[in-house]
Amino acid sequence: MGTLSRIVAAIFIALFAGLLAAGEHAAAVPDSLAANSLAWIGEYRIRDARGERMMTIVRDATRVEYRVQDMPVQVWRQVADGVELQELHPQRGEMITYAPGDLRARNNEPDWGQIASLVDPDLRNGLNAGRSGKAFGETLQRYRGRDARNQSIELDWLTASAMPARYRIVATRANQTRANETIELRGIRRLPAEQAFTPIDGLRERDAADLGD
Amino acid sequence: MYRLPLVLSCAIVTVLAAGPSLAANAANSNASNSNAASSPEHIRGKSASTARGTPPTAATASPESPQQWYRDGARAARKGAELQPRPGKARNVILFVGDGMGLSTIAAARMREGQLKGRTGEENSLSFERFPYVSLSKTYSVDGQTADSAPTMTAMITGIKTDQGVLSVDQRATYNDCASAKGKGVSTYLEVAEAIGMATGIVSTARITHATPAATYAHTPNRDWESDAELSTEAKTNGCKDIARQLIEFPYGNGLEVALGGGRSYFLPKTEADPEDAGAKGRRLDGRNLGIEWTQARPASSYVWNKAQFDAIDPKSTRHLLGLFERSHMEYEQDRPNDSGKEPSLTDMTEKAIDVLRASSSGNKGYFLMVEAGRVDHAHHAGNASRALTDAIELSNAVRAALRKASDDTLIIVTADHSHTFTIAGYADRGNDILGKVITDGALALDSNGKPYTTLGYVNGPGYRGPMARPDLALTNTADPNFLQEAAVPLSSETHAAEDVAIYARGPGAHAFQGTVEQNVIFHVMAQSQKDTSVFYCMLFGDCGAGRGNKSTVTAPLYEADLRTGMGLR
Repeated sequence: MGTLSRIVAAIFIALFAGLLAAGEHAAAVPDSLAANSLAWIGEYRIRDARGERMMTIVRDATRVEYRVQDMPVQVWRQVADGVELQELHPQRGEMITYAPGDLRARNNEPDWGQIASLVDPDLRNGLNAGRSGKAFGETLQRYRGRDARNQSIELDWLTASAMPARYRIVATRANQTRANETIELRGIRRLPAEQAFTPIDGLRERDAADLGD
Repeated sequence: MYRLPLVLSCAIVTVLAAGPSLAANAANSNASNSNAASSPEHIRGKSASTARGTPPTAATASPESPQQWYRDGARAARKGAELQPRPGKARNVILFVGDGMGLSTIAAARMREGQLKGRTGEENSLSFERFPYVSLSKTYSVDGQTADSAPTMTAMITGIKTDQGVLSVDQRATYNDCASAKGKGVSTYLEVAEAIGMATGIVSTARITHATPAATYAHTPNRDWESDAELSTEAKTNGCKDIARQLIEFPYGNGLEVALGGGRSYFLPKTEADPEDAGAKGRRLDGRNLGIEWTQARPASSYVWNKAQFDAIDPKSTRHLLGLFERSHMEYEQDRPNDSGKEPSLTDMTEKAIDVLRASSSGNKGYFLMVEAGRVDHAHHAGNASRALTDAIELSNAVRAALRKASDDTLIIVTADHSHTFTIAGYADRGNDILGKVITDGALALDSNGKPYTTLGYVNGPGYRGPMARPDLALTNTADPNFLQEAAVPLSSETHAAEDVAIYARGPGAHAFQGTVEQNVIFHVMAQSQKDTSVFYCMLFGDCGAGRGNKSTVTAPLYEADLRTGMGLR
């Protein structure tokens, strides 16, 4: 669980501290995506207190894969009982699977809406819509506002792919404004899902419940 | 009024006349009481009103009074003194194993169950706590102070202790070394039972290929070799079979009558989608579908994977039942009602297993059933007390169902394979929510920094909240099923613990459980208590029964290869 905690903390807390909201969210995946087997691939650059690193997000109707530099690949999957997490360790030839019940038992029940779109839908709904424009070949909607911790938030949202083009937590100190944490989209494309996701066929699956058993 | 002094005087005179030893004992007792007069901290801290006895917040099972305490205690003592071993041999044997269900888990589960019934909880008893015979079991393995489930179940089911991580092979086998395990397989109680014509079954909420159920029917130097995908190259080269395959190719008698649990993916080929999760596939590389093979190899057999199919099984016409209700482990009892595929509970599976075994028992032969509450252990590893207790309570329900269904000539044993670092601590008031924060004298108990703390906790595990100061739990609902109890040492997975676990037993032969015993004694009590296995082992090894003097040239234990040879099997 150390790894899980680290990843969850890194992606959902360090980047978007305090934004996790309880409650059910409809998957923020466009209907058009569910109808075919294409997956979105978003390449992001992250800048925060830990420095700068790259992150790739691959998403289809029922899966979201996070590839964060220096961390195991994580694949979140919607299954009938909830959301399952697969943590890939190709160098060990192994994949650790956290069943929905095991995520709940570890008090790590994920919010699919946030996993699928990076930004908590409740937060986005609470921001003020600004002007719109074009970016990455699609419509971009700009949002501004504050999060639950009263931090200033700037969000540029791609409406078709339902992914952020830019997300910034802005701090003002001594009349100087600077971004504390930034996530920026560097490129986005679509590929057949079987090419987009990391292959897992050769990996030996281990149940997270067996760790330490 | 004048009768009491008279009766009291008579009693004192009688005791004094009975001998100085009694008087000496009484004196020692008084000395102990005198020492107790210097009140311990938790008593000194009590307010006068609480010292007089604050009524519990919830109603107790019966009115509590000094007279009632005395009468109940005396009744229990008399009942114990009058207890006579049940004569004769057992026809059936049922072994319940709460995986990781240490004594603290049992105590907390008893309180939780009582509180769920609207009582204070402490006075409650789980179903098996009323069994007449209780022992303590030493759980260490040959090479481990704190054991995993593989050597512990091996001890219970083969009669010998062995090394960590290996299943039903002796200590001369090397972990993860197939070649070293050749000829080291020790026959299990289930194998012998099946070989001599008894009906047999296994039930678990874990994978049916997981260590505890697997030890009953498989022999392997690595508990993780559950499908052929997990076998090492060395294992394949040297002919070791994976655990799921060993279940399906079980060679003794007419094969197991019942196998119910999780672990479907270990029986399905990698090319086949899971019936409950179309996005997932089986894991077998050999292309075999062992569920189908189960039904093809045995007459009147069924394979089911959901509750509707399970409910439709007629025990009278089903001779062999395989049920695999999840790809991996079954759901925690907490989550089971919300499972999409719908799963039977441990109680449902136990009842169905007994029905099938009873119907399958031929002639005068009995049955052997092993039932494991496998997820108590997993919840503890996750640091989640609520789920661990819910699964322990469900084990109690399953035992209760077995008591209803099984005949009186059934030896029922309830035990654990090992304990966990789970603790019940703090001076909580009577009836305090066992999942809650410690409340003493009606007020929230606070740590040295003024923060509340929970009654339940772990010595290590994911519940560690450091390295900063402890969190303030004042506004936290610690009874939430997803709450993780605090742990003192940070570990990603909470660990097993090495203290003894309990053995509860009833039925013919149960009186053999006396004092603190090695864990492998459980096998020997089962072996000597069941009418057919007792004859079998007696004939084999001698030194038993009325002819205790008879000696055998056969050296114990009975190796699996010898049992195969004896049965005319390859």
